[in-house]
Amino acid sequence: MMGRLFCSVCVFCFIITTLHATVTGVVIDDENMPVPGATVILTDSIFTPYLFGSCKETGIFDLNTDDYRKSDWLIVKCMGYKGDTLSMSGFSDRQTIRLRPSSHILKGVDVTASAKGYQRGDTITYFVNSFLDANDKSISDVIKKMPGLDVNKDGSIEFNGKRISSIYVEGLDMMGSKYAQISENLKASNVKNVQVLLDHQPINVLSDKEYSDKIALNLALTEEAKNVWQWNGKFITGYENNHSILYSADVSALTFSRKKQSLSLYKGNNIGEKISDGMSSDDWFNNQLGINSQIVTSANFNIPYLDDRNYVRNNSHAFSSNWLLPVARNGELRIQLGGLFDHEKFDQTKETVYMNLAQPDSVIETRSQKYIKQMLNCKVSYLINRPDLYLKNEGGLFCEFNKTTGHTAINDSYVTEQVEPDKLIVKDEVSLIKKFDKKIFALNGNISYHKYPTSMVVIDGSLQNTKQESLSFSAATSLSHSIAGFNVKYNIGVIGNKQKFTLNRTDESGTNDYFDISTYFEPILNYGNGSVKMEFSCPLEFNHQYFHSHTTNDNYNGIRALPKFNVTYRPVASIRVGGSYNLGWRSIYFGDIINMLYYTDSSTGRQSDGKIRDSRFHNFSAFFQYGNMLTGWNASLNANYSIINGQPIYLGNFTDDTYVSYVSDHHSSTHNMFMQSRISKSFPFCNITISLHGRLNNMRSKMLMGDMLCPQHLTNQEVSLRLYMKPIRQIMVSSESTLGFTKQKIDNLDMPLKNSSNSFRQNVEIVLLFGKWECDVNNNYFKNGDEAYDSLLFSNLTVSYTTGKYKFGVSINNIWNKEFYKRQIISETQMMQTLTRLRQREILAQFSFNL
Amino acid sequence: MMKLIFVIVTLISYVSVSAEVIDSVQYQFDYIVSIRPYEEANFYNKDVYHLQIGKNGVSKFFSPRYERSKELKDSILRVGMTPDEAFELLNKEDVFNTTLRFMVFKNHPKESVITETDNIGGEYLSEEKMPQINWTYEKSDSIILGYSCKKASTTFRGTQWNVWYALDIPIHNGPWKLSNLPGMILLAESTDKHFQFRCIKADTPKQGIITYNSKLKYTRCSTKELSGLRLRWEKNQMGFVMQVAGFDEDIVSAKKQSDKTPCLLEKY
Repeated sequence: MMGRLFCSVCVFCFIITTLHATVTGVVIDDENMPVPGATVILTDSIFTPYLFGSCKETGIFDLNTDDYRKSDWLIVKCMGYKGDTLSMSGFSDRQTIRLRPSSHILKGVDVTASAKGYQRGDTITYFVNSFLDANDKSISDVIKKMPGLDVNKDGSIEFNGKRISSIYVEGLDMMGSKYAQISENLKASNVKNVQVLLDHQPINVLSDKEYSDKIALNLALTEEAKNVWQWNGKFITGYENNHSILYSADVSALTFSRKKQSLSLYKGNNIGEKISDGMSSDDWFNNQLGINSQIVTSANFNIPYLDDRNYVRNNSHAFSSNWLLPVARNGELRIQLGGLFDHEKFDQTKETVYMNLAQPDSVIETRSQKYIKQMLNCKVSYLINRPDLYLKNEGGLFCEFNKTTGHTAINDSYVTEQVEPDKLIVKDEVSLIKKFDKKIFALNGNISYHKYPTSMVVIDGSLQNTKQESLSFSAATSLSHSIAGFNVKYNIGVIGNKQKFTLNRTDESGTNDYFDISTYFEPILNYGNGSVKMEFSCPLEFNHQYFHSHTTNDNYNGIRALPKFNVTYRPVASIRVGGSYNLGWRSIYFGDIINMLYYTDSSTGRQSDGKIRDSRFHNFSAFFQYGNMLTGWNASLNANYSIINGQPIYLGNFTDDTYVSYVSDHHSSTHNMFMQSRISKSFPFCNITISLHGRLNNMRSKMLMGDMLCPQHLTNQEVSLRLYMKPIRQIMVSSESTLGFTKQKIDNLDMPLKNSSNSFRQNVEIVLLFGKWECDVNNNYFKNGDEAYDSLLFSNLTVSYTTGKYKFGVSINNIWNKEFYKRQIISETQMMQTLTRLRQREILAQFSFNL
Repeated sequence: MMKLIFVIVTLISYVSVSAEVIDSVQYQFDYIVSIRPYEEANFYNKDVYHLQIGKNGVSKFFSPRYERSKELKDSILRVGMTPDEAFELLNKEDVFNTTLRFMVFKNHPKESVITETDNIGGEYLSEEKMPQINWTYEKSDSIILGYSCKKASTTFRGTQWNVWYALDIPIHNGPWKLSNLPGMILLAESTDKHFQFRCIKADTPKQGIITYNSKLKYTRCSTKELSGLRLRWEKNQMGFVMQVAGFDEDIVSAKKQSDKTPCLLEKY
């Protein structure tokens, strides 16, 4: 017995002795002088401190911990020095830690907190409560009222005209680029603050090391919204004037906690609501398909300015499930699944005048199309994002099966349309960035395979089968270190793309192959302090391109130097100015080389000559941003000027109701200027916010009219005025009025052409609250300047009653039962007039809950 | 108006010689201090407080509005105005509407000592050794003023506190007597919602001094006694003043006691 007791005591003492430890070290500066007073903190894996101390006069620290196993990180901080974070697994006792001097100036609240938010450095914080109205459902409804932020029709969000890259919830990125699902499903009242992270560097290792012009949002939740499951539901039923039964069901479950984040949803409806936001291949692959874009797609349909639910006849079902789970050692596992069954129907009559023919010719098309899209996709990513290590592996699979059928009348000859463009994309991306003392080493690689088989019935009744396949890969490694306050990075890599296009049609068949590989060396110089951030790089690239078909071979070998420069300057917190320049080679669009005649829809063909062209571009951009929470003023101006040289010009030919464009020997330089500005002001009086938006696009290029090369000048201008007003708690008014103007001028010596169109559209929404009753009136007014176009007033009315977490309501859409919407569109080579059939008047009963 | 300008000019010169400079300001944090006066109240007494942190480790947490009003009042009396005239004059300038008058010095008059002053019918001062606050580090975090903050909690002298501190500001200080965390405390609130200190501005002033009015006649007491005095003051202000002035116990007790429960930062 005594023996056992003795053994137990010995084991206990051994454990206590083993676990108890003193962490010692010394903190010095660049000149090997001790840093007295530096704070040394021991933390667990998620950086929660559990012990801290200060360095003595000699710079020495010693921390007595009772359980050594709790220590994952050792953080050293001192005012006037840049902090350092060390992994305890690699920490040796009495280790010397060197801190680099930095500004000791606190980045204080340069703009002091106002009732609506504040700005500190590169972070702007908006208080949600200051913008929240009773009728706001999702956080997206509140974001669109915040100064500088806009929510687009597809759910994407822009800050001062620049698209944000991701939305974090409590600092975690669950959704990646398909963030629209978060902003449209997260209840507004569950969010405390919305933070705009400017010049956001998502990779912790590269923070303060590498320039980033990304913008992200972080949503800080209320305490009540954390660690609980939120259930939201909305059910609608009703009927349309043509006696069809309508339905809509929308159920979502969300949770946000330290242990996991999750968003799962199902949506289904036939009331015209688009539910595919965040599900397209562009959303899944962050708009990076580029040269791997699909060449032959579904037949095109010109989308009117109206809300989808006013003209789309659909039967759609979508599900999505997204999970973010923490794994060992600060890792995150993200799993995303999504599926869509979308059956849509459109009716549109289009009169098109083709401008690049010898004699402009007019084509009248009447289309009635049914469009079926089935989509299944999944993405899995593993991420470690620590101050000393970044590791990411992301793999994704995207499958899409489309079918468009319809009847089209082209100049009175009838065509039965059938297009089946499918998509299969498989992609994997690996990135490793490791910090070694003063150096950073990086390794990146990705590989993707794209397959787009398509079958299509063309106007002469023949069947066109095409198969487009592409394999893209890249591998790069980099090493970076600091010299005299500059961060220098050397990037070496290879990037390649192999494409194959197979055509099989009665009158033409064959295969085109294209291969493009570049090996590059890129030195990058980065500099940043509190107010200036700049980056200069000049990659030297050896490029090899090869094209092969049964009739033509072409290849290109060359060395390119492609300088890039970015700078951002923030003289005071409220003002940011910046600019950039880059010289580049325009990525070859495979469809611009194919030397076989292929149809992109039943009556539109295209053929190039199999030649690889050297097309380079210069791009200049500048921006100015001003925002002051105290005065309520917010303004921005973005300007971009690009010159693209060596672009091939296509010659149009319209015969037998078929429009075909052939590549010519002529080249054009396109000068494009784009300016976007917005200015807004909030007034405390009646809670008024007024914003004025302007957009100008000016393009100069050349086009072929017959055999005549004609300069053309296309200008698009748009001015819109937005007003939001809440004079008393019971009344809210928001309106947006937009005036658009398009002008085209073609300097044809025989017959100069001038086309112009202008339009006016206005949306006014009035919300009235009477206790638990809510009345929402939405009016849309459209008018094309031309007398030939009737004005259109489109009104919807919703009356609802809220009791606790439940809401009941009745809606009437298209009160005036308008049937058609007419619009004029001018593009580079075409002038169109479209007439779109609208959904008829419908009455809907709705029930929704938030649990 | 001219009279007022004369008075202010006179007193500014007086203030500059009467206040003792104890450190030069290195960092300054501004807090909105919200204190519920009594438990039944549905409002808060609010004021903006400055926390000045000196280069030699001294810090001062004070209401600049109250300090200004006190300096003006004292100086006006010294230049010969009657109390009524001074009151009328200063009332126009809105310097009397100060309900929060406490002030906390850390590491003054010597290291590891806290000095607290308050005006409760008279000027009181207490000194004590820097209290050891046992913090519990929580996993929650938040972003305050753009700084990533961690949460910690403690029970200090009868009040449960939740605070958020910024690791990126490695200063072991905070509003009032709260301190001793690895980063600056930017938000502190009691779990009963009676007290809140919310930082609204962090700054590195180019110049500035931390002053201590050593000429003022304080009544010295212990921290515990000061808390007891505050309780009596809040329950019966007139009675408290009369008792301090030496009125009979019977007259003092005849003054009606408030039946409300005062909210005290420290409860013994």
